[in-house]
Amino acid sequence: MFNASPYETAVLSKSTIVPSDHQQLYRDGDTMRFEIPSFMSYVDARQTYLKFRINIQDNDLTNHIRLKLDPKVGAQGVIDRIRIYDGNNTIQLENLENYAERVALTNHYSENQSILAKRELTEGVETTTNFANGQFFNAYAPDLTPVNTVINQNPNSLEICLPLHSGILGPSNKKLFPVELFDGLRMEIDLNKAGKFLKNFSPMGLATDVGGLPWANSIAITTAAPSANLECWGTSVENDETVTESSSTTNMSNIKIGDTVSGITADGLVTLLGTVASFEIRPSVLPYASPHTRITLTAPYAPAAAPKYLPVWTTAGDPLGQIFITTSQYNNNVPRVEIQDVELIVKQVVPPAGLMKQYADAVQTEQGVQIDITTFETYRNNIQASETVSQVQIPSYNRRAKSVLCLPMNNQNAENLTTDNLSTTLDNIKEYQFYINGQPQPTRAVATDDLSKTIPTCNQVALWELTKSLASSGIGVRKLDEPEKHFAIGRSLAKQGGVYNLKDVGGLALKQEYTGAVVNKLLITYVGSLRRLVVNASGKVVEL
Amino acid sequence: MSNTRVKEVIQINPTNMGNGKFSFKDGTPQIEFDIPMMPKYMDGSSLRINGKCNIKLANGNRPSNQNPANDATRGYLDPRTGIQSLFDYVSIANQEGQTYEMIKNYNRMASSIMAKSNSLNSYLGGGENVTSGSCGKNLQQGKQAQLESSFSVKLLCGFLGGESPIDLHLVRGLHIVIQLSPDNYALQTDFWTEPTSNTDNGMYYQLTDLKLTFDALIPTAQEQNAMMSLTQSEWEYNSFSSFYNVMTSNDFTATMNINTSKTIGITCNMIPSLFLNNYLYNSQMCLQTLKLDANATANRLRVLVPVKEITFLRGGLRQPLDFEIISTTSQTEQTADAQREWEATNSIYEVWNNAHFIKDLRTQLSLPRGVAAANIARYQTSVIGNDAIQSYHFGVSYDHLAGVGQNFKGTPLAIRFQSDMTSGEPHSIFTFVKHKNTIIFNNGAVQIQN
Repeated sequence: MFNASPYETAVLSKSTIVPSDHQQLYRDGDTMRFEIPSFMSYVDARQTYLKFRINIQDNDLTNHIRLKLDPKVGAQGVIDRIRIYDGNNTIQLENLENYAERVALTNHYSENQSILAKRELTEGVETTTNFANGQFFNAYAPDLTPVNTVINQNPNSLEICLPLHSGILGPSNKKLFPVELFDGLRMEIDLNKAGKFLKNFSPMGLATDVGGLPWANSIAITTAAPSANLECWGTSVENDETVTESSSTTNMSNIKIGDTVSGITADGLVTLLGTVASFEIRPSVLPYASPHTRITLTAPYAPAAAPKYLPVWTTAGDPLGQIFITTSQYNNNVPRVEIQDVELIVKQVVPPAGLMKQYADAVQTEQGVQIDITTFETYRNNIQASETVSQVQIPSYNRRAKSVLCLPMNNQNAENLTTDNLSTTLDNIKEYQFYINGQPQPTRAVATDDLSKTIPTCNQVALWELTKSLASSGIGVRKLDEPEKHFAIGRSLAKQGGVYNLKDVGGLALKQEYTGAVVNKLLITYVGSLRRLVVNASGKVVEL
Repeated sequence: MSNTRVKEVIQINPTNMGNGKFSFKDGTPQIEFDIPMMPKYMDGSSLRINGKCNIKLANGNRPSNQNPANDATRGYLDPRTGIQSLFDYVSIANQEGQTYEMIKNYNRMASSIMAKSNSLNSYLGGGENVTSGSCGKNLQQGKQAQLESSFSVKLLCGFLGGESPIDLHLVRGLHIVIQLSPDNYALQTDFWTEPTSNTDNGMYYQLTDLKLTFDALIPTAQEQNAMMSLTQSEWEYNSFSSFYNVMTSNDFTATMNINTSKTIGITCNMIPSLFLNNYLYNSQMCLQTLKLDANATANRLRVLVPVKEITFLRGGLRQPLDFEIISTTSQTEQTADAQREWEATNSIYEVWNNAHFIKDLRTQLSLPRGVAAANIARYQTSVIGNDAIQSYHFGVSYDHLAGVGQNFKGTPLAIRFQSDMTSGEPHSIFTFVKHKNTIIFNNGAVQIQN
């Protein structure tokens, strides 16, 4: 901080707004478009970021569900693909696909507590697991003293400043980017659907059937049937921190008006109780030790095979009734996400005259101006669950490859509020090995079986390979916690700073061996490489 | 004649030793160190001020911070900056009286810099405690204040903070003066957070056993001869200049002639003026605009007044941001003020590289006080209690590219601050300008260009 710069000449710059194509509302699944005009001359990508406000479009069907952005990526999860073209829209300079998945993984390994806090402040990453502290929820809402008051659970909009994980317009580009040489830039950002990046806080009160997790996750009730009212308060760990009336609604945060509620009776059978007509916040009057929630059903609980009562489920002698809604019902109404006030904040730079002249002269030559960016090519392969041994070909023709990063994703997951769509799956992988130019790399298969154990332990070689791979692509590794939850297969193709010519060897292959795989997988492979953008007397060329 | 360079630790006692006690109330409120002119290289970043700190009540007894029933005996330093909060003014000159660097409101500057450079883990785990005498939490700092504590702090100033060794012969020795903060600035009770802790107990602090230490490289005799014959050189470093304004309205513009030709960035912090030099408040806090909490047992300024917009102007033009930083919605909804945070972090350090700072959602939003107190604060789960005291900063960077910065000679800097404040409560704004300085040595004459 106190060290003086060795330079004497100032490089003037200013941050300015590049608006999106239409300054109106975007919703999940839409495409944003930006045009950086050529008169912006040069851009400092490190200080360029995407700014917007994001909010959940609540409606009568969804406004009782307290939600958050995927905690691994925050608002980065909104982005699915980024395409950057020259200003004439004739040459694609960079194409980033499955952006959210990559950022979810690299975020984990690159964070420390301060970086996590920075992402919390600027990218909407949720660091709390407590419903009541969710950023979309208004934690300062007035007390819910009157009964029958129902509050909107996600009223807030979050201001987001996203540094893009892009080789041209992201912090990894440490050199000034000469926008004017490309007649400006055009950028398109495809947004993911909300189900991919919007998540609920807890599985509490959700179950698929009686054989699943209903009593582990559901809500205790004490009102005996028949009754139209269910008095509920939480017993799960998540609710230990709930202390106020407003937070007591978190007991029911996964249940909304119109849901069909089921209960478990004495014989362990599931019985439909009715449809939720309304919620009320009830004061702490005995026998309720704390404020709690009352659900009124459209019809009184009247099971056909009487006598059946709630509560009936007993644990250690304590009566605990259990109610739940089905997960499929819960996911029927994934709310839309609204994105507004979208601005690309661009650091526009007036470089020293010498640099501008140097570029202007170089463009006239055959060699031209050469700009190297670190970017990621994406390749996808499918691996069936039945394949114990699979070998997939990754047809990368990058001449300046640095590393390879493979993310096995569960290909059977629906995009909804309860499914983690941005995490990888182990699926009992036993070992892996790359084949490059006919040679196995590393020379022996890398074991990964310890990660799938009941109590997972770390496969050190696999973790070291992953660390090298990330570092080779310019990602600083600061955290190696829980590799089993953030699994990826990595291989550094060249020592840091160096490159490897995959074109000459016809790409690479990855062999994986599984013991008892159960899901079909999508293997997303990112090849980190230097992409060379050339502007010369003949025009503009992109070299892989 | 030896050809070996030797490294040694040099220890220097204060020149104005007096009775050995340095204090506003019972001792000398100014510390002076003289480093003689000699053919040695000083490692400026290794310079430390070492000593012991005692905090006492007016009657000479130590505070009793662990006794909740005895509110009148509470007293402790700012937990985030510790001993740094005791230094009000730092001046570095040579032995001939020519000033190289002078930082006013040094303690407030430390509040801004340390919040941006120390990680949350430093505070939680105690990494910073050892040297700065700070703990990060009121509770621990309160316990520390009950005993004599030792410290070893570095001076956060550009002249000493660079990587290049300092030729003590060329700079003609150094004369370092540290003006101490008033007792009622440095020490605080719990009045702000606890209604019963309403007392002005006349406490004071005392520094003893002071020593300045630094690593010195002793060149070979041949090199020493060369050093002594060197009469012309240049020395470059980044420094901070400070400016003070008082805001009393909801649309306030502070206009400053900062007059620095190589302005790299500015960072600002603020606090209600009432909190400064007041035993009842921590004068080191960096808070946003506040108003009275009418629901509290004793009226106190602690309800957040929403900030609407901040605009930075250079000579009347919006620079380096072409736009206002708008906080209206974030402040109303009490969510992260992302753009202000981004630009403020970027003002001194490179935001894309910075991996160490105390800020999180809770220190940005602060504790919920006043009418909303019954509700819940958002916080990072591992940070609890009084770690949530707000750390509010704003600022901009002018040059992260060449590190040379913009010329403000003859061009005023203006900061427009719009808020919902209607009470007219005065708030003090401290502005720290980071700029590049050049010292030119020429046959014993020293010229400083900023």
